[in-house]
Amino acid sequence: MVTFSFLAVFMLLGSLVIFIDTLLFHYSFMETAMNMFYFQLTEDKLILALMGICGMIWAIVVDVRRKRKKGNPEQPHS
Amino acid sequence: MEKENLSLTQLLALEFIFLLGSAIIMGVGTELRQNSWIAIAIATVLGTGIMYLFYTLNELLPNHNLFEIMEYGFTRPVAIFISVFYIIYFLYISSRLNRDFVELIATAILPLTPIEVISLTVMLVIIYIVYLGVEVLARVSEIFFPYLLGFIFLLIVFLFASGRIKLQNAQPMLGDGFMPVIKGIFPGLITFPFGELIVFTVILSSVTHLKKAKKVVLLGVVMAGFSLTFATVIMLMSLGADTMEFSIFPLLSAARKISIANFIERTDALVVFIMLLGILVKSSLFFYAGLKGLEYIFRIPYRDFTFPIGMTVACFTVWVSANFAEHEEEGLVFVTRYLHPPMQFGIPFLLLGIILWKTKKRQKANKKSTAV
Amino acid sequence: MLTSERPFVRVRRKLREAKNTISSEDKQLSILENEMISLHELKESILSAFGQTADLIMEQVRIAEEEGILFYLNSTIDKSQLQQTLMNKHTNQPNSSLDLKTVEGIQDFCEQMFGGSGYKLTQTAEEAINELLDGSFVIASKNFPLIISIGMPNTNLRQVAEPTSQTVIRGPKDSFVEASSINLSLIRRRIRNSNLRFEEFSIGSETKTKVYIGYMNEIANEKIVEEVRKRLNKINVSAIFESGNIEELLVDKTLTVFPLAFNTERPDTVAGELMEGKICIVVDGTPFALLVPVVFTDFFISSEDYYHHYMISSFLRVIRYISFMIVLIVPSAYVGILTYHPELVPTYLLINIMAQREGVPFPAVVEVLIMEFTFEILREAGIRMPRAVGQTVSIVGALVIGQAAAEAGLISNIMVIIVAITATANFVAPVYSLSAATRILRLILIPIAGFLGLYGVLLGLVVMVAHLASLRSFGVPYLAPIAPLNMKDQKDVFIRFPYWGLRRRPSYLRTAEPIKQEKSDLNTPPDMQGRNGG
Repeated sequence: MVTFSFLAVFMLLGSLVIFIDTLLFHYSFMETAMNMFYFQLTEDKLILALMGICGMIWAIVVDVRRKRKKGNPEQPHS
Repeated sequence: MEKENLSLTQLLALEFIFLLGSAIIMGVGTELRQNSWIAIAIATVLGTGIMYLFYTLNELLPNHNLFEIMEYGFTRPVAIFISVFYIIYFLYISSRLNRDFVELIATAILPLTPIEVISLTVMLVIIYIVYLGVEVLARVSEIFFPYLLGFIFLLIVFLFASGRIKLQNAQPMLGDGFMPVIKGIFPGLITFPFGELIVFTVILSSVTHLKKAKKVVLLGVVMAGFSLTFATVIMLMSLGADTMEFSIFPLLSAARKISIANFIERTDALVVFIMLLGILVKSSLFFYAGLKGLEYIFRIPYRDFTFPIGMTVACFTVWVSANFAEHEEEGLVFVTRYLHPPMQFGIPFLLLGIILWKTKKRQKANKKSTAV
Repeated sequence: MLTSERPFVRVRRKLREAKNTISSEDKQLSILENEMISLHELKESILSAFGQTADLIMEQVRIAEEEGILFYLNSTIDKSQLQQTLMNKHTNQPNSSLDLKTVEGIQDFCEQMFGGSGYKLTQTAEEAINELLDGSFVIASKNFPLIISIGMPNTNLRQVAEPTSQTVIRGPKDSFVEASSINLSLIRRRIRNSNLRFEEFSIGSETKTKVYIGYMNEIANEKIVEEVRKRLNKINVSAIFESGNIEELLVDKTLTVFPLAFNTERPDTVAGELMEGKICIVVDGTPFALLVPVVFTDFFISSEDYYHHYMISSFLRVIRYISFMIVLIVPSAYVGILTYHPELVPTYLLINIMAQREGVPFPAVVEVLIMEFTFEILREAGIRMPRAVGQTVSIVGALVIGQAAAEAGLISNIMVIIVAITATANFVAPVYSLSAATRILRLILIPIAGFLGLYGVLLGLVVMVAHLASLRSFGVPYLAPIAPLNMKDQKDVFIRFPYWGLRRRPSYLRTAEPIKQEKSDLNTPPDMQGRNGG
């Protein structure tokens, strides 16, 4: 569920930002999307990509942990 | 999902830093030139009314945050649908605030560092604080609250001591009549910074004594508004209307003019600290509100969401706009006119109406059952 | 060598765990069945348990006309007392009115002969072995149903002397020692109140170290005392030697450099904190006692604050807080400002600094890190050096190395000053645990400043404050009473109110009696009118 929400938030936020740009600057949708992701230098894009991937990995790890906890019965905490 | 407790002092500190944080650096109402402080003063009065509205929402249903109130007012599916909008709204505003801060740092303090790095570092701090809980955020703001006040006060004292304050910069007052002031308030000043108090509907449910909180909450708005007015007056008198209107960070420009005995100069660090604090608190609160929304929809504790959604916000801090001009324009044109009013006023008014109606219905039903 | 055996029946093992809290009287009363162990078996089990150890002594004695064997461990007994007790010929005279073959007879006999010297009557070999290890000697005879053990441990350990680590100018100069009995007496002497309770625990499955907790019954919060007991009973390690081991096992499990329990060598600190409602933990074998629960501001309090005048104490408190900030901020701010924002420094100072840094080949970060590590090495070496040589070498070493390095062009002169100020400020903290934590934090902040400049320093400080705000020590928030803010507790945090003003105990400890003293009538000078009239 966490991964799903991560992807959903990502997509929705992205569409909001692209939508705003479309409204303001009268480009088309796709043009704005391309513009947004390509205007940066390579090293900086790497940092962004890394951040996104880290977030994704963490979301997957959290989901796996939750599934495992649900599988085993809860141990009573001391 | 355990209960977290905020004390009243912490609430006051949170509110003050929240309202003051980014407004004092970015400068509100600067396009109104000499009338800016009048506009802010009037907006403060209106702001107390707005805060009272949000407080009433929480008072009617104690221990419910915004999303649970929506569930009570509408049904759960409708509430989930609206919550999606609120989550995206909160996270978007959080990204924009981060972008403000990143712009300040990249312009004035660390010009050679790529903005992704600054965005990543500040977001890591916000993630850490929100992961620890809203209690920790409240305690941090409580600790730093006197320092914030002190630094602002210090800046003002230094400005006076440098002899930069010129009273004629504040004139002419209301030169074009009252209409520009009204135009500036609706929708500009009402939504930023006072309308953003909607975030407090999410955390007011965690306050220990909700009844006593009414005075504290309104006092916070008044204090912050007064400080903002005062600071704007000082900035106006030291910079002059033209510089203030066209400068990106008026407080920074004012601080750069301080020069006392050739020793105390270049007090940029103080301004950066003020802004860091304000943005941290504000952005953390919006981020926390967004996470609470996700918790409400998925019924998973919000701590699990912190890091992935945080990384998303960090990415979008960069993507929100390509340069500062676009950022400003988006803020002034789109966000203020089309994004803030429905989210901050439209839906809450509707919600309040429905809840009042439902409470009256329930009261009538109770009277009927007891009468029989 | 005794050959005849009267087969006594073996005892069932019962109440092993409750051995910690049962006194000697209760122990005798817990003899439920008449099952006893034979002398031969006892000797076999003692010999097999101790092996060929050189300090186990077995002698044949006569007790009340009965042949018996006396066991003791040479290294734990106070020999002079032993000779006195056994020289007492009374133990050898038969007392015909007592039948020593019954349990009641033995009990009467012991009460007569050894009453008041801490005797115990045991049944099993294991208990006898434990008694031997605790510093008792054991007498067994084939006709006695029980084994007599009398405790006389030797306490010729270090005498009470001046504390080595937390010295004061004005105030008592005694410190704890390694023997816990002396430590408990030092505390008991200061608080002559029957509410002061001590409880004994035996921790460490192999070493069985004695650990005592002390608290004021009417003052300390019962829940916290219960929690301490629970956690101590849960400890399951093999060896405990120092209170530091207990501290790590006792405190809340979080990843932090900050100490979550207060350790001190001074009995007056312990007594003062006990009166505030804290709980002390005394470990046998170390002079450092622990105090829980603790908050961050406790680490800036020295006991002599309460003995000096309140104005000077308040001033010194403020100095301590400022030096804490100096240790954290000065090196990292130096690095950050010089690397990223040199324009923030006043112009003349900037010219001076830049002139000094002219010949230095390293960037500011590397320079600071080199100096800091050198200083850490010097500091560690200074602790380990033998006393006579230590002082000279550490001072000379620091100055000479610093000066020589500056002249060689490896570091700038201002770097030496900064490192010296930082190091000196580090020692202002009264408790070593906090200055150790500050050292680590400083070393973390320097690379962050090198990476992100002043902004990084600010971020690092905010992260540190958030981390502190999230810590809890036994349920008490670590930053109480600053956050959550409680105005009533502020009287003893940054400044110290005069002693007549400190009327309340800290509210975050949730003590049973929050008010310490009544509102006092302050003294006014007597009326001087009578003088002129005569």
